[in-house]
Amino acid sequence: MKMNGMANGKTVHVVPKDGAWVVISEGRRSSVHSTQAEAITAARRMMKDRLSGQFVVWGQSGRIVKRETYRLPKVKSPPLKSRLGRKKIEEAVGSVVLDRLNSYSSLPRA
Amino acid sequence: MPSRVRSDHVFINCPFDPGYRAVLEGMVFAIFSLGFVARCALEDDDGGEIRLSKIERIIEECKFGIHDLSAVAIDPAINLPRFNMPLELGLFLGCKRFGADPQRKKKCLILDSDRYRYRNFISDIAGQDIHAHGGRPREAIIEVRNWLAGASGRKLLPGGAEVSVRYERFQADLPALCARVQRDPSNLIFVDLSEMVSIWLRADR
Repeated sequence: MKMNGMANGKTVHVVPKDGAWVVISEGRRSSVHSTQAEAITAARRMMKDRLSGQFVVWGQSGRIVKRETYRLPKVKSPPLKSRLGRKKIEEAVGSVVLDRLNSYSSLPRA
Repeated sequence: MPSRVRSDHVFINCPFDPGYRAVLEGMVFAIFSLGFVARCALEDDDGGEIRLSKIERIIEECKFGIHDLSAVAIDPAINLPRFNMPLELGLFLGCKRFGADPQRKKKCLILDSDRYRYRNFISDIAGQDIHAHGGRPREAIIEVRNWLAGASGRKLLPGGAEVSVRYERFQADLPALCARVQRDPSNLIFVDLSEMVSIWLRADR
């Protein structure tokens, strides 16, 4: 199933937003929590219901502060480093991914 | 002498033409997505190392090899085919055949545009299972995934279709990624592509 013209991934994101913590999965906001710990608990519960996946917790800085993988192969690093610098690429990835996450629709009404 | 073979490293022997780029990017993405490391002669542009020595070193270090013969064709400018891909396939098979024990466990995937074209120009490899991708990244991803799953014996690897879907998402993000690091996506060098794929997969599979 595609959202916003792009296929959905197996990553559940926990993102700080307007003083709260939003869990985003499959291209939509799944739940909103008042603390990061509650959001992480919700994300872990989602992971356990799936065959495989990962969840990523984004910090206020726009960088990943926590990451857990369930039954997915561990991603390795290339042996030779890009001259762009790992940090620069991480910031670029964070920026692009967060822009996309922030464009996703709001929680459905109950 | 300690083994230099890395059981998670995959050597990619392929053309470096612009027309092949999409297939190469797809294969690099698939390899990292499945928990392996893509290696290639383009990874190190240190002019101090002789190219053949660099290729030999990378082949030695990789347990797995993907050899794409699809671009072996007459170059109209010189009326000769390029022999680099068959040469590197030969080096890989020779390493497997004559090397010390860890080298004998090497495994390779041979790709071509057509499964039977090899009969006309490299018939010595008859008996090897040749696969075709038709120049399409999605099919190349599925071929690489299915082969690596069997060759490595690893369980629970994501399916080829699933990896292909993730690749579409990465491709959708790539122009914005390259803009932020001030690089041209159509001219992204191998080490930059590999690092971007690796970091992107950690952030958003």
